[in-house]
Amino acid sequence: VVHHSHALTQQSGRAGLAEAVAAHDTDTLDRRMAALVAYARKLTRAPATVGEADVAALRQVGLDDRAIVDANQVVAYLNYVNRVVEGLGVQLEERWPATARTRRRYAGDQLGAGIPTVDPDALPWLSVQQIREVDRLLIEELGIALEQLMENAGRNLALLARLLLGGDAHERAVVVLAGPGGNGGGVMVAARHLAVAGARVRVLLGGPPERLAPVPGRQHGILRRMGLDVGVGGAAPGPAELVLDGLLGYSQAGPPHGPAAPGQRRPARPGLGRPLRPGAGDRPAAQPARGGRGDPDAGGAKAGAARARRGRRGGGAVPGRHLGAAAGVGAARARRPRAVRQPHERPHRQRPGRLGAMTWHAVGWPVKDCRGADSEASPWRLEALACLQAVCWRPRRTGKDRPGRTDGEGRG
Amino acid sequence: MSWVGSTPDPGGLDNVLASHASNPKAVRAHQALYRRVMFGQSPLSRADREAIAVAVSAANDCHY
Repeated sequence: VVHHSHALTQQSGRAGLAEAVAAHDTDTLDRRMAALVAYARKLTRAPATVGEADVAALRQVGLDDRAIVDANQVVAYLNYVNRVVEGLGVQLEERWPATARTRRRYAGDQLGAGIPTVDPDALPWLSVQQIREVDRLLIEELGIALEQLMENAGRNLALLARLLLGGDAHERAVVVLAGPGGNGGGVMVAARHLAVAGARVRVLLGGPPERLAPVPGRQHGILRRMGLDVGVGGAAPGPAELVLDGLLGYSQAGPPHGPAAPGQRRPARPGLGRPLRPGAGDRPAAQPARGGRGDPDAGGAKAGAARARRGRRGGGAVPGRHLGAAAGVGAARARRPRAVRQPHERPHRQRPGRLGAMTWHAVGWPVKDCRGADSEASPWRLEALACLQAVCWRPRRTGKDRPGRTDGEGRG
Repeated sequence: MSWVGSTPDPGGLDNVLASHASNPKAVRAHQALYRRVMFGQSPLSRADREAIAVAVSAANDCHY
């Protein structure tokens, strides 16, 4: 990267171009260069997935066959020479300044590269009731314990978090926001794995530990015994490079309040300098609606039937504008170098199509196998869906009762 | 500098070429390919080719 960034800056006379190319920030590139860069990345990352359409895309930006052959040769040559460098431990020459010789990571921006992506609408929207049924089938009929589901989701979330951090969590600041239900338990699992990977993890509970459901409560106990930094919402989370947000789940009923409320949650994003604290008169946490046995997100608290009904109705018991923040991973911007910023870190509403890749990467299921999934649910699909909702909280809709997005919100 | 012995005087070669100096024919073939692909006549500009080089190296997480 260093050698050719230098050459690119000299040849193009454009400062910042090399960084944009390295970060695959195609918005700042002209169409022709964006097409070349896209071809180069795909052929490098997932060579077997390159198809005739990729070559056609190069023709579309005005490249002839000779130009395409030459582009292909450059890609192939660089892959050769990169492997010489990495395979023999070749160091940068002494002539480069010390700043350039400090090894940097570039692959952090590749989350999703080579992973099939899918529009969120191409995935089935499940109602809260359907998700409950999925959980019931998993836990009661298949016998996959809630702890297992939670461990899978949390571990995959930790892997995703490490990717977002550029592959290495060592000494990286991560804030974990844990609600009382299954999602809270999931992010506490992720907190454990990230701590083991060397991250400086700070866990903030959405309410007092007594309010945790039994299984998340056990996760909390593990964290305490490991000596992790666990606080209760109200304390300032401090600066972080990454926030794992597990405050809300599908059992959420009524608008979030206390530390989980959006007005309170936004400041939890690091770098904005405002502490996370409950507003006057707020109750302490996001409130779980029901405590069904098969419901990983049930917080164990009893809620009235009216509230539970409200929670199930279409349109979102939690207004849509909260949803971006409620998705499993909220990534911080403030302290991340530009080169490793993810397209996924942009607000989800701007790039809904990317959410699929992120989520599926987190749960580790190939998207194509789930496309158009409907009532024909196989066990693996059920587990995928359960993990999915544990990682990425979305408003529920089914084909039948989709309310038609009246307010332009309600999208994860 | 690399993990394998380089010739004492690699003749001003960049480290990547010096790294396989123990196989001089491979070094020469590498150099020829490098010049042809990156500097030879092409409808692609030098900047185009360097941009592809940066994109590939970043995708491989190859800092060098």
